[in-house]
Amino acid sequence: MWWYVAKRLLQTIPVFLGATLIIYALVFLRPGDPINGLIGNKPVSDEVRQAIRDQYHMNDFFLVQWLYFIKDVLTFSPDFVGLDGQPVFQKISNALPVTATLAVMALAMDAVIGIVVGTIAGLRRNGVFDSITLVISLILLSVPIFVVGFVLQFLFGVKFSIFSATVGGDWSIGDLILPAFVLAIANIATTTRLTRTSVANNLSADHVRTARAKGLSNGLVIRNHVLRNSLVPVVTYIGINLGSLMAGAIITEGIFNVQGIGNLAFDAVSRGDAPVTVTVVAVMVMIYVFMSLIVDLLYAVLDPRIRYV
Amino acid sequence: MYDKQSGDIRPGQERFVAPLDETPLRAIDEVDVDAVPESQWKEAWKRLRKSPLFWLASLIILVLAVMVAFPTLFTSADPKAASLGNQFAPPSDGHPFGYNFQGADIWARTVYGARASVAVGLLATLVTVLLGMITGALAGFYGGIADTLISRLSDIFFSIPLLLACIVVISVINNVWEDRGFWASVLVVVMALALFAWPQITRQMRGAVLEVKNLEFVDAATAIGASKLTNLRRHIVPNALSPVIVSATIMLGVFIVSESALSFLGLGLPQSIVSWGNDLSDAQTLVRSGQHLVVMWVPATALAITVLGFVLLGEAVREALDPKARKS
Repeated sequence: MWWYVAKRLLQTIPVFLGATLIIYALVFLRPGDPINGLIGNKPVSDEVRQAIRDQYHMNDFFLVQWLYFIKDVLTFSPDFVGLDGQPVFQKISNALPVTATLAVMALAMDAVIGIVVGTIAGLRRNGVFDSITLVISLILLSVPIFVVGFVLQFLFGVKFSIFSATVGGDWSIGDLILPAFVLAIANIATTTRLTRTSVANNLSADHVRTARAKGLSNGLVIRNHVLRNSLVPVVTYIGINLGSLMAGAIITEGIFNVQGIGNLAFDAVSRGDAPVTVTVVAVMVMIYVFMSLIVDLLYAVLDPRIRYV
Repeated sequence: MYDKQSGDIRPGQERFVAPLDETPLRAIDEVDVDAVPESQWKEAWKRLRKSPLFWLASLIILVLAVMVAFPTLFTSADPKAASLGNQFAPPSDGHPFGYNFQGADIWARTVYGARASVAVGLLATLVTVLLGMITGALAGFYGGIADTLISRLSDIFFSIPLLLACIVVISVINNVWEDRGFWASVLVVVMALALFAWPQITRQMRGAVLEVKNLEFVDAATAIGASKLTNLRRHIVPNALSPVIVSATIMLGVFIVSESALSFLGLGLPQSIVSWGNDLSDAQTLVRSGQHLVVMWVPATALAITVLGFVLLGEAVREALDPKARKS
């Protein structure tokens, strides 16, 4: 298995390089002199301009600039600064904890609510509970996340004041409950549907019939034979989604004013700040790649038929 | 086909022996080569016709299509006519939901806004599916270098979150190409979405082609002299298509939501274009204060029903194409 992990880690290298190169090329294509944005409308001498250009390697071919970027990222260089002169890694390490907490909370809500509701619906397929869940999950899937976000923010944050409506710089876990739920909503719907289908399909599988024929109790059959097999696709879906949750955080963080990675990314993109934009994307790509590795390993734990060599 | 009667157990028979007719040698001889892929879709259509989900989805999509094609059937007001004197004016005759902040008719804007959302959803799905089908089929069928190249490339594009990637692409294009008309703006959003969404279809198509290409009927086609390309086009792709069709239907809904999310961030279609995303984005400040919620409800409901239509269609098609999942 360790050989498999090493192989997968090696495979992340081209993905990382390719993804950063694509984003770097896109940001590089953006016209206009980023220095103008940096210094405002004040007149500036050519020497200063030149010094800034040298500092950001702006006179080099863009592939060379990208290589400088890779070097800075790999060495965690403290001199690696965004266009506003602040160290990129400091910005990211300030913003990452709140987004990571948000995403993990959303993931936990997704897993708990999705699996529990989905299992109940799957065990009683076409029952009342199943039908109600189906309707609710289809509605949740169809409404844009920001509409749900605003409505919940207005209802629970402003009108009834149960949760805080915005988060801001000093955040606590309690502040993040509402944003995390909003972030999780679309995924909860999909996880529920997936669990339900998977459980329902497994209920009629041969091995479950065999287990029942052996005389196992209903609870034991469901726990050991139905659930364990049904959760394989569900775990994949939930795990893979950590990355998309962090990207989806762009909108949720905008609604609830969370000072996280999403806000940072959006600011950086609108300012044309290449170092920050590309680093944020690189962080997201790494998170996605590692999550998919973990999911694949979990796969082997849940499904003993899968062995990695 | 063979007749059912011969399946009866004959008197004096001790064990069940499958009747000779059940191995329909005659039927095989009678099979028209072209009929095989057709019957799969015909059967799916038969199942689809019985599904209430399908008819509900079709009804939603039909109404939507009429709304896109003939908006004047639904409203006589001009979506772009705005007068501040009508700001938040209550509903009146011919203006069922009243007016928004700019004094424009909310219902008219919602009716005309369908066009942009549907255009983005349809075109983005079309481009994504075409890209994904071709790359996936090539990777799965030819293997080797083509597979490695396409798979690694799709890994790279797949690893960047869709929304983040679209934000970067569209903000770059907005700086290069500011004044663009309706179709150019739609095209920019479509390309941004398709550029980072195709790997999903590629992976599905590749997996399906890998599964199908070793089945007996492909060997049979090769045996009667079908060329590689004919095999791919006539036998493998049609049989590997069902997961892609299901994903594409659901993807259409996702793309419509994505467009509205991008507009919410100010990066979707330009403000001058009437679209649900822009209307929702305009409504956000009102919702914060809890006033004039109708400005948000109307486009939000239209968008939700549209997406629901495509999600339901996807569900119905999935059940029709995969009867195994339905029975259990």
